[in-house]
Amino acid sequence: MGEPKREQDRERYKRHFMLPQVGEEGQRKLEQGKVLVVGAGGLGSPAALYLAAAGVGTIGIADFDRVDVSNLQRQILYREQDVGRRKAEAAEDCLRRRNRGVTVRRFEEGITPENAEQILGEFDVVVDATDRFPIRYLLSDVCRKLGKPDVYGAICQFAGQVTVFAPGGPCLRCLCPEAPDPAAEPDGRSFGVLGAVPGVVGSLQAVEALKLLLGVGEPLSGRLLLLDLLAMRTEEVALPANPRCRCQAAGNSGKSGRQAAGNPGETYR
Amino acid sequence: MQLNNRPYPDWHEGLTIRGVMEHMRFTWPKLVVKVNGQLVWPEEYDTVVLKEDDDLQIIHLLGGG
Repeated sequence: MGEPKREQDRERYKRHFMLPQVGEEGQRKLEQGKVLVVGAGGLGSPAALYLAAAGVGTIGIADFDRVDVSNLQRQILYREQDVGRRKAEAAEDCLRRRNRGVTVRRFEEGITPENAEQILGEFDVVVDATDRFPIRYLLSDVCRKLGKPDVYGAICQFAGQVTVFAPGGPCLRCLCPEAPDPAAEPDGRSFGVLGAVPGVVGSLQAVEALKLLLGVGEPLSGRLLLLDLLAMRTEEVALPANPRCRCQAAGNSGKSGRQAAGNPGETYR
Repeated sequence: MQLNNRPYPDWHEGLTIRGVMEHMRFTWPKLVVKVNGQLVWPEEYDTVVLKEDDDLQIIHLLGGG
């Protein structure tokens, strides 16, 4: 403890200070940055851990679930003794062990159509680490309405997809206008997954979130990165905004008062 | 015609993107479709007619986490 925090931080973030894209000024941006990680599972675990390690000042964890023993194969926020605990609470402990300089805000009710606007409004960047489409549409819609970037990551088996829905680029609805009937949709938990696959994808989401906070590099906006980790091939698909999407009619910053997707009362992760 | 980098054996005059989806039973509702690298929006799946030398890509949007 003895030495002042500033001196400790100089050592702690030495490798950040060596990067011209970060430096002391960038580190201050990270310290002042607020990132909401929605879904503290396979994707949210590495994303939140890297954000905490990088010194992001405020990390929100939204998840209503509890740790199950079958999560441990890939959800690296949790240990065996966390089984049965609320994920948001166990995640906070893990992140605080990693970096006590980080403020963790828990949203144990998850993100719902009722609370989404208020909660997302308190953050600079949203990381979509959820496992179902209705909540993904909700996050995309509300981010568009608030003019905030939504870092999208998804996996299935050995495959992954990453993109950033940011003002000026497409939103999730530009790609697929309507969230389908959840009953017609395969359950997000009904497929196998190699644990390291969400590790890769969640880490990429952390990289994009950090770049957005720092304002450096080229965000993955308007581009969909496809990862086939079984063949170990990647591909990039250009995604322009759909001129017929509602988000375009709303002027792309979406101040039109468009309603968020989802049925009132429905609880999402 | 190519579908996802493989020859598509059932091309015929007037074949639309919807026709390929139905033939291939691509019922998954969230797809990204490109013809010769150009993105095709969902509203156009019924109207875009594929040529014999077209390169069609249909990508499932993943949702798992």
